Amino acid sequence: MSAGAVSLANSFRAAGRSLSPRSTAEAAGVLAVALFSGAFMAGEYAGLAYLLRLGRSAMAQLPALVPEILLERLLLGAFAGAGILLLLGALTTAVSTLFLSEELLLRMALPIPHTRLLLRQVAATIALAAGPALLLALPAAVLAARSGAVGAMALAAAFLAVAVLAGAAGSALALAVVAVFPPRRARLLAAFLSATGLAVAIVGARGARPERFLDPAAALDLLLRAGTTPLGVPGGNPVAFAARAASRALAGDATGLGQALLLLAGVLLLVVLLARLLAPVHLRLLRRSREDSDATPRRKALREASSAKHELLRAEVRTLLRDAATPAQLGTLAAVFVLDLLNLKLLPGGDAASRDVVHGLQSGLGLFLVSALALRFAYPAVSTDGRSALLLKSLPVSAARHLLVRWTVRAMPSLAAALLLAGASAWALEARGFPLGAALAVAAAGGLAIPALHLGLGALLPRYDAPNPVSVALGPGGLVAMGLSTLLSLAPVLVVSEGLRSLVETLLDTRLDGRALLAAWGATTSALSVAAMLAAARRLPKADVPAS
Amino acid sequence: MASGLPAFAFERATKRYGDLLALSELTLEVPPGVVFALVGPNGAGKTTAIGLLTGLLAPTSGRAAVFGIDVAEDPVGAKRRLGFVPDRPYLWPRWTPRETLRFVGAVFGARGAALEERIGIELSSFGLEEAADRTNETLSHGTRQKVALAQAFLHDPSLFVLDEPMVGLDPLAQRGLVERLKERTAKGAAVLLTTHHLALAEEVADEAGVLVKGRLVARGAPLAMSARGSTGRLSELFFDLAAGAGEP
Repeated sequence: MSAGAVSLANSFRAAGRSLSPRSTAEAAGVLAVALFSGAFMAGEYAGLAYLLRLGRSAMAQLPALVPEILLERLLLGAFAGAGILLLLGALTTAVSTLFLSEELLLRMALPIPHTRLLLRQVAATIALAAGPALLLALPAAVLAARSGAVGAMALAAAFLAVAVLAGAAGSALALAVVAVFPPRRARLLAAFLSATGLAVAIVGARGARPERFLDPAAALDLLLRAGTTPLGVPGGNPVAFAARAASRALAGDATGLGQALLLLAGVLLLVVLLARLLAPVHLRLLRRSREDSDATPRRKALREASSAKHELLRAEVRTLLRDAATPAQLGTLAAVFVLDLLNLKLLPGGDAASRDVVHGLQSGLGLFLVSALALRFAYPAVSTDGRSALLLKSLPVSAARHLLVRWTVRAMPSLAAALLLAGASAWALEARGFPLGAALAVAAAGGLAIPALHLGLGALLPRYDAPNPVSVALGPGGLVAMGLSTLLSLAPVLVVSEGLRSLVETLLDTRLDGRALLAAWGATTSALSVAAMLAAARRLPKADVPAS
Repeated sequence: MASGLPAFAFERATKRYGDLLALSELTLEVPPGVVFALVGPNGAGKTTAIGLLTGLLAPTSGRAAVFGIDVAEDPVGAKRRLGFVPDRPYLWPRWTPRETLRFVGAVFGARGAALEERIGIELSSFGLEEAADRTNETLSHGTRQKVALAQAFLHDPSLFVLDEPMVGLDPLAQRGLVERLKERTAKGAAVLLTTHHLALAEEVADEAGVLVKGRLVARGAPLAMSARGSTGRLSELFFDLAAGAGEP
């Protein structure tokens, strides 16, 4: 076997080992993921098949529609959307695979030409970035195969061509970013750009007011325009070319398959040529990035902290800010925030009663966002110490005090987000009096208590071996934390909205007082959070930290 | 082995990291069949020198060559002659030692039964039979170091470049490594090793060089060098040179 084949075989075996469970709990987890994935793909297949049947019956009633034009336009939209998403995903992945991968250093010391090395890393980038999208496209290809192998093959080849092109473009863009910034900073920037790009796309889609197509006349007008106006010649646009080739083959024209395969071959050739061209640039940047990491650290020396507590505080802030995923996730949060406010602005004016209901729902949504933030920033706080937890344990630092310091830092993003969202919602919905006060009180209490609950639970069930903060929460502990805090996010809906409270009063035939509900919710949330923190403070000094 | 050519050579090799001069005009030629130990305090430039020889770094000026092959001009040709062990045993975490060796062997052109047989020999030589089919990420530091050494020996290189090879090895494994290196140099291979174990350098090296702040401040046979120190030990000379270079 050639070295490439051995490497591929080793990687497949390694992937198999990663998936093969080592304990009953892991087996249950793998089974759950497999069942969920299977159900999701089956659901996607059923949904697409239903849409296809619906489309065919609509076509029968609208003879003016040209199916080939409509299909090509749909595919163009799908390919363009997937291409943009893959480009953004590949950008972040490529900074890691092309510059930060330890595997790359291993291979660099071996007699492997650098062009081949770069091609391998670009292929890995494309596989990592496009893998989930290819799995999502699989049900569509299977559905297409029902109408003929030619259409399915063309669809697969066209989609693959778009994915490879987007992945290669993301890799080339990563080189450009690393030419300006060191790789670790470039990865942060790439993640932020990806999240911001995605956010802009979502906000843009929402801003286009898709709800206007709920009006049948507007929807029919759009459908007729999309299904009768022919698209221009693809020219040099590979995405348009892919859509045309696939739609032709799906319509039964075999030349479409040839065109799709030609496009795929062309894209692969382009990637090889690009790798040859960019290999010296990559080698130079890679060496420079290693030199940067070898050189003396250039971080500014801070003044000595005035106490151990301040030093702990500073360390916690540092850990949070240097987390590679933080900027991207804050960017996503900002997008959700803007999207939510946009939704509020686009809502029809309505009367005071409907605004009251929306205000209540907004309070619940705000705390749900706080829960998601806490799961990301507070739950993994102890686990992300990794093996340095051993060193930490040997220091004369009280676990309770350290937990308090962690909470002080980790609750800040949640508290700020909760108060901002509550304030903005109240302003947009013109809330006054008790609902306004209650919404702000709920946001403040939830913004402080929910991170404490997550922090405590995360410390009770630490995962020091998790590769990154996101994966720390992917376990039973994370599920419990998210479940509990989601339940705690529901009650404020009744506290803030008088209308919803009246509805529940009628349904349960009981009297609910807003102030009493607020006090009960506050007491329950605080008690749960304090209990989790106390239990963690007691357990941490006694719990073992794995040495390897 | 190519006759007449030095196993490895640095010609006025200089490496700068921004303002930091990591290696200053290093000139050194070592013939085949010689174990050369490069010693020096932390940050002296040992790993930088190794980086230049293995193509992991590019010199700011000057050149590094392996059996006459300029590493910058023909990195693949130079690396074909090398067996390299980095300062930390980087290994594919989810691969097993056997898979690691199979891949490295294949890169060097070995195939089929001959490769499998050779892998078996290396696994046995380094006492890795038990660990051969466990994933690298589950192995102790010392065992990973043995895997890194096994992959360096796998293709019978003409030049071993070993950055701190003894770190993490038990005394038995250290002894085994020294014997294997002596066996290979007797057949004409050369060894460049960096180490902080000065006693090891004295024991195993035919020649040694002391690198301080990027400059080669002494070179010679360890015993001859030892005689220059106040107590007749290489460590004493090392301390004297390191302290002297630190003075203004």
